[in-house]
Amino acid sequence: MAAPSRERQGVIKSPRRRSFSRSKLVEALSAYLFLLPAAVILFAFQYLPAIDVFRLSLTDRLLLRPFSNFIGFDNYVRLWNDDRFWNSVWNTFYFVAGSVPLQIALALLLAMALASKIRALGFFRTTFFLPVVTSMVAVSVVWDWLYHPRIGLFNEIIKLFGGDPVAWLSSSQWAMPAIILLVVWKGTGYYMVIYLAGLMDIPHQYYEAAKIDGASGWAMFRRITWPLLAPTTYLILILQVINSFQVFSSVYVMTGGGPLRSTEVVVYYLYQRAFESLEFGYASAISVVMFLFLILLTVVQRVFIGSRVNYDR
Amino acid sequence: MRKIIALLAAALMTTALAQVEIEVWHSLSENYGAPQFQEYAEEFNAMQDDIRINVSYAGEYTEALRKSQASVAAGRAPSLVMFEQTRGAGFVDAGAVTPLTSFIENDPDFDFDDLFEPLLGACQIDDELWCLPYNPSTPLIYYNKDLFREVGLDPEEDFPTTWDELLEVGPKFAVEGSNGELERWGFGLAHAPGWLFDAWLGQAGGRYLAEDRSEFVFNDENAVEMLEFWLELVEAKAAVPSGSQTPDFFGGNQAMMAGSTATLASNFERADFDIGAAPMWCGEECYVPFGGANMYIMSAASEEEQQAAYEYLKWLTSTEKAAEFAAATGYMAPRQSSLETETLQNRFEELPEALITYEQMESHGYPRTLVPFWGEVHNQLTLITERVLLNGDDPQAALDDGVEEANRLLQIYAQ
Repeated sequence: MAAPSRERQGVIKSPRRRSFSRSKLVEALSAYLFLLPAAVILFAFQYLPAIDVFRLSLTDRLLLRPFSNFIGFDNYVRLWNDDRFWNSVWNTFYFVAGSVPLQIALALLLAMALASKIRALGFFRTTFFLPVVTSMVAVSVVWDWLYHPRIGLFNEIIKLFGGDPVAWLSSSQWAMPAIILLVVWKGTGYYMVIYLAGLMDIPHQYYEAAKIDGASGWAMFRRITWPLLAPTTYLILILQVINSFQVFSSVYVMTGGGPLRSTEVVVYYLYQRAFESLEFGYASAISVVMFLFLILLTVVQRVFIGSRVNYDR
Repeated sequence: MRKIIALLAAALMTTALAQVEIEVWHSLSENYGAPQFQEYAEEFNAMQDDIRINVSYAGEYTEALRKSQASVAAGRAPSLVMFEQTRGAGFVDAGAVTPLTSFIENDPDFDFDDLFEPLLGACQIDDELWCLPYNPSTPLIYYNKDLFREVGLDPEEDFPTTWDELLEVGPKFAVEGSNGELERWGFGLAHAPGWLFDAWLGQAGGRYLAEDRSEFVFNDENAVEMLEFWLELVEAKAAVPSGSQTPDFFGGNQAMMAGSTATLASNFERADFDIGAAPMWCGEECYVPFGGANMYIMSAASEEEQQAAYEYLKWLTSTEKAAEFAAATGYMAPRQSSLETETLQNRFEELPEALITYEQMESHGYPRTLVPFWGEVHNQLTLITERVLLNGDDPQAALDDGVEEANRLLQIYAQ
């Protein structure tokens, strides 16, 4: 019984397999065909320039001059000894450490408040999301006024509570917190929406069961909400860290990296080198280092945090 | 009938073929000449059939610079571009712009000697003329005449014309608030002084570059003296370091503010007090730098396009057109003959302060420092100012660091 059937299977299977693989091939081909336009655009405008940046980083290219010399890893050696670069690295870490946890906490808090059934829910959701869709440049110009040392709103509020006015953007101590505050205000709404989606995905039964068992609100958050939101938090963390390390426009509009280079972050420094002193080769080296660092960071996050995230529900 | 149509079509085609179309980029904003600049192009297009001008706003000076840098790198530059005073040198260095010398030499109609000589200094590098001044400016001192009267000063007689007088007059405006901070003061020292650094440095008798342009020297005793004078002004409560002077000046908290002559009309309109404008004071020397912009022809343009760009530039800077633009804005007309036109004569009658900038420019106006990497030197000047005014650093040390970076770049570009 077994032998003929095996043989029959073999006989029937082999042409079938061929036709199956042919249709699969057609399917794959059409898939590739659909992917092609996007791939070509991505390759031409993202990957090719990125690869070229690496080549440029090995040259002494000045932006406007059409010629350059190969200088090996000189730019990287110079970078290692460049105090201004390390200062910008420090400022960037300061910014990331200040803005990322604050945004995650606020986004989660807002999302949880807005996931409950309150009045005018749509209005609040829109309000908190609004800063996200406004232009960073426009927002920065407005906040420039809010931070004005003499007539700005923030100092008025501080004075109202009897505090001493702060020089904000013209103080090397307060300029970075001022930028963090702005970015948190502007960006939180985006992550709030992601958290909202995550919260909607948590099945009600868990909470109902917990309530029957007499769990407190905090316990429900600790044992249900937070662990089940872990994939969302992980996604937000990665997005935020990558975004935050690349902070630029708020610095560009509000402080120009000052005062005393207290807000000169890596991307701003890179920009200064590329477009002010026009040292394009050197600027390319900075961006390569930045790129490698972000990849490394993402891998580290994946290994140390991603492995603990539970996707099962 | 058919014949006529064919002939018409042929005629149309030849004009279309013969017509040269060129792109012109400018950085004038809505209140500073953009509508006029656009109108002139339309007027020129209607006037003749050979050249068609397409004007686009390339963003403010820095943004326009980035766009031009990118367009040069991509090999698709426009034909005629407006560069801010300090920004053309990088394009000259890269060979991205073409000298105007031969265009002018081959054109018997072009009255070269009529152009203001000091302004041409901003366009002369290595014995070639690289641009024509279009909308140059100088800094003026705007002041609140009401505040002068309030503290018992005559707004005309007692206006400070020297550093010493500023040190004397300035403190009279100082009013301290309950927390010890000044609520009203005489003058504001910008955190990012830009071209005003040029003014003060020049007034102290200092210069950025050595005469042979071999090195930067703005750490010599003149520069130190200048920064020490700033500190003296602050110490005497004659001036405060300030990041944003406009609201303070118009709010009546600051008596005097340095600003471009280009803002003359808008400042006079905006002030709800009796506002005045005066020449900038002198130190050991009288010195004002040029602001505003010049027009360059890009070398990526074809020969035909370059010639067309030149024709248009010539028309734009002609006596009457230049006078019109100067009268509509606060910028200076680059031609001496423009000052005699009815257009500008009327303007001076209406607003005599519009003449100040010409007097300054002719007697002691100087071009900016023409190096390809000025943007970074500018950064250094801001840092020096912040270190000295905000951080209490030693002026000499701050200047030395700035000069070191400037000289490093000078060497790179000398290769």
